[in-house]
Amino acid sequence: MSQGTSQNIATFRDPAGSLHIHGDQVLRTVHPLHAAECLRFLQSDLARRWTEQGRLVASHVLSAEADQPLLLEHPRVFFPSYPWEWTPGQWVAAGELTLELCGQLLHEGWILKDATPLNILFDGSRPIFVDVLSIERRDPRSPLWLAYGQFARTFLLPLAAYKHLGWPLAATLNRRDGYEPVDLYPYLSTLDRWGAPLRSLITLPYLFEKRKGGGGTPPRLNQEPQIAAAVLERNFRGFARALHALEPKGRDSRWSEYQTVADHYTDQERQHKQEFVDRAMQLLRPESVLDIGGNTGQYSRIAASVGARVVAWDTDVSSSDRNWRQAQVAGLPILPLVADVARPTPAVGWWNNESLTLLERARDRFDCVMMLGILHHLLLADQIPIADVAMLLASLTRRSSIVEWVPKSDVRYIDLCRGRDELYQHLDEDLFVEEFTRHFRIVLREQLSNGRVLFLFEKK
Amino acid sequence: MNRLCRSPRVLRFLFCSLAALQIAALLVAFERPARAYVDPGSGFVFLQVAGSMFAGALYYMRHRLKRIFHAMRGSAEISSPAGTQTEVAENQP
Repeated sequence: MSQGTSQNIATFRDPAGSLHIHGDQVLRTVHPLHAAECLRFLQSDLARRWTEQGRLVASHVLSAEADQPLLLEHPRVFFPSYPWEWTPGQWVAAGELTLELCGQLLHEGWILKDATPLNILFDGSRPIFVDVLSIERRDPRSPLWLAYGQFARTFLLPLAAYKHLGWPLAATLNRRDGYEPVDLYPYLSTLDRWGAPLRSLITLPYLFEKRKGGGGTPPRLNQEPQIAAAVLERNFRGFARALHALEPKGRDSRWSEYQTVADHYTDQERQHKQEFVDRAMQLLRPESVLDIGGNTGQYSRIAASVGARVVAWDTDVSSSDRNWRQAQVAGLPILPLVADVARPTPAVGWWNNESLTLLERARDRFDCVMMLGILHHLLLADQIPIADVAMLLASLTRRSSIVEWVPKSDVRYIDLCRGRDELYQHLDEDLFVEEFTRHFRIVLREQLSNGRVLFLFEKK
Repeated sequence: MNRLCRSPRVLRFLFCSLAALQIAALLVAFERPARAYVDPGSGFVFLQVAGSMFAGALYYMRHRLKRIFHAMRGSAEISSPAGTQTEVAENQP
């Protein structure tokens, strides 16, 4: 955006245009200088094919007059998510999509002028490229992809930091332009520094920048068009190899095997719980479901089986990654995110206005919100008052909610209580029902043989 | 003269000169500034330039080599009596 301020504008850094979001309407204004090029791309076979495949956001031309800004409308992706909420698998999938798009653009005379995970959203489990202004005509004689630096900083280095140093991908919340080689270099072992792909990704750029003292005008390189295209294609293959080499191996956590090893549930009780959720879903037929504490997605998949699009929040990266991989393989409309309802993702960026908070995105978006096996964590570990939990739930759901009440005698309740029984002696099912029925009516109540109680609530 | 052109030493010298020329030509083309609106990162650009020059030189050499070998094979086939005979034999009704 070259004029005015950035207030109330979702994206404003690209001089070629800006994006405004009003409710469910997503409007893009393209600067007159870039309008013809943008239109030419949108009318290309490649754009049409990618849009049909659901890999490029659809664009509807609202206004295209000579010397005037081009106005486009995009459909709103159901639940916008940010890279700092993605699992490692989602990061790799987003990087793959970026490189694949770039590779195909190359053959049609286009290229990506920027390459950040912020250009990607997830529609269910599938990544979708949403920034049509990132696509520009390519200089046929140049074998360089100038956005590679950004691709390395925002995709490859966060993955390298996660894989080799254990830095959480969620830490990218504070790194809009990713990491620089100098951020990682001091913490890597000599073996890691000189091994592939970190040698060319961190060590050599770091040593070059240290010697040269940074900046300066970036060079241009001219080659014969066929040679330039062949070199670029070869480079893209190399970047894709680096991306896959940085894909973390599936890690187990104490929660990722929870559904299979949980000793406070017998197989029969687990089946009983699944049947309850299934029955509730058949009854409700929700179009959208939020699964808070979704773990590996056992109940998200039940919701998806009745046609609901599901967003699943969990604080555990391994469980969420497993949930996403299963959804992706099965083609289910489930979007697992690494998110904590007790410490929701904040808004960040310029004016605190470049991203939406987790709760802003979720408020009133769902027909049903599930809280299975999570309420006692919020009450005991996060020390949230029960009245607040009920109020939050009522603000997220439009129609109904499924909640599991865990009694004081439950082994997990005792674990989380850690001897602070006095502090929580007021917490019982009566108080739970009293607080929740301020906002909801009880539709179903079923007690499992382990003492846990399942409720289906309808919003008042 | 023909034998001199096929000597491995002369061929190696020719290839090395072509590679040096290609690299020199690419280095000369370094002057104009890039128009990226994102920071290309000097270290990343340096590596990409070096890699692209090397790959470009390889593609260029490969292209040249193919042409030289095709030309040599073509001239060898034309000057070979056996080749001529075969062609003649094949062209006979």
